Amino acid sequence: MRLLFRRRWQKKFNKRVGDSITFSESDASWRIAGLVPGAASFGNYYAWITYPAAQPFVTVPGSVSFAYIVLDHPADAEAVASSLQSRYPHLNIRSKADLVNEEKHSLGDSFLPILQAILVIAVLIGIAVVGLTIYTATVDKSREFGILKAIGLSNRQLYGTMLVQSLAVTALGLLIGATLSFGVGYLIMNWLDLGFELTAADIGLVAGLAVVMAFLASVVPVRRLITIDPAEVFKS
Amino acid sequence: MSILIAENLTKVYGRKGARLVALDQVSFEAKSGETTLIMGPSGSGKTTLLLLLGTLLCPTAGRVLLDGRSLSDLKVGDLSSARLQTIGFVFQHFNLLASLTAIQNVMVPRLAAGLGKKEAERQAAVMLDRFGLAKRQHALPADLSGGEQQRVAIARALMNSPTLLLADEPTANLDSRTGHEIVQTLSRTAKEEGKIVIIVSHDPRIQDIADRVISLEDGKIKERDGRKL
Ligand SMILES: Nc1ncnc2c1ncn2[C@@H]1O[C@H](COP(=O)(O)OP(=O)(O)O)[C@@H](O)[C@H]1O
Ligand SMILES: [Mg+2]
Repeated sequence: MRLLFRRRWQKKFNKRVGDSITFSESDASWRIAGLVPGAASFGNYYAWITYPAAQPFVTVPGSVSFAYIVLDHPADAEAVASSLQSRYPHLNIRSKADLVNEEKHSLGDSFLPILQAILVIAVLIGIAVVGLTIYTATVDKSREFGILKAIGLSNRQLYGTMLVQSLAVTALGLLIGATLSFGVGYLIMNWLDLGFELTAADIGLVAGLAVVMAFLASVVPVRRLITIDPAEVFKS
Repeated sequence: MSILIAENLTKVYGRKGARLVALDQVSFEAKSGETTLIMGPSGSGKTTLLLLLGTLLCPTAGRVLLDGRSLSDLKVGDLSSARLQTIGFVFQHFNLLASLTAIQNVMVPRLAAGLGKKEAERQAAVMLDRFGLAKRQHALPADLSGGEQQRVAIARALMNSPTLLLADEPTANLDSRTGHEIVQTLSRTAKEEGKIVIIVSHDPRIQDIADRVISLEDGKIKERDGRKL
């Protein structure tokens, strides 16, 4: 019996078109008749077989859970769907666009809030880490800042120095973070056998957040900077 | 020709409970080209006086006039630029920025004043050369001797051509010969460039190079130029 196979699985199962494959649940041997591009799915594995070949596996022979209908004129999809729906009220009929939308939402509804919470926590941790780094550096360098104040650098010039530091730390973090998330993300998604996508918009969003983070992170150190008394540098 | 007037300078530290009169009605004048030495035992108020002259501390009473302008009445925001433009500091502990080379340290005031990096570097090199440090330009402070560090500090203090040069115990961390050289350098700078130089020290050996000696005790002037008050 023949089956269609995901293109990416050739490597995974070390099989080519024309090779045979068996599954532990069945004694039947399947010949790989062709490849399907894409078709990634979270937590599921799909292969394609003919309807007659599937009969031994279905509980109620002759039944289907769903069927795809290919139209000669795809533009009519909505109209065809609603007319079919009124003719077969017990079936659930969707146009392709609706189906895609529903799938997207059901996935988004369950994952998005978690991802957003993780993002918020990550940004807060980022602010704390960058802030602490800059704060420590400021305390560490308070004599240097005192000297600069004595020389006559304005508070604004000193904030500038601090903000540059803050941005530099953040940029470094962004670079490391982006590299890591790209690498780890790619590995994980590859391992889950899903596609991995990191768009320029994503990176832009994170870079924007990082700049905001750098500013927020320098709020507390700046308050510390203001309290540095240049008279202190006259003492030992 | 510039003139510095300290007018009844008084500084009280602390509040009601633990008030300490660190400086009590101190008045004197100093002119361009002159070196004034402020002497006195530890705790007599020398550093406090220098901080008041340098706008790093606000007097409780009295004021500092530089060429008729009261430095004590400047707004907080204007103090830093007044310091940058008109006052140079030399410290007991040199206070060079440890991570910067000699020339970078000397460039700082020029950069802060808005000069471009190239020009600041050129001017800093000229200044370092004047103090015999041409070969030490790229050394870090940690690799310089005490005398060299203090000369770098003087070069840095002079970069923005200040009217007033204030030095707090500039020789305390140097051996006596090097200390003497540093004080001579300061007083020569006063004469050759018409700076008002004020040196705080409790080292009696440097009295002879000063044009004026003021002795403090318990925050009051006890002697002027050897004459008891
Ligand atoms: N920030 C301060 N707060 C309270 N007391 C101070 C402070 N700075 C100096 N003093 C006190 O004021 C007096 C004069 O100090 P200072 O001007 O440093 O003297 P000197 O430089 O002659 O040793 C000393 O008794 C010192 O303890
Ligand atoms: Mg002192």
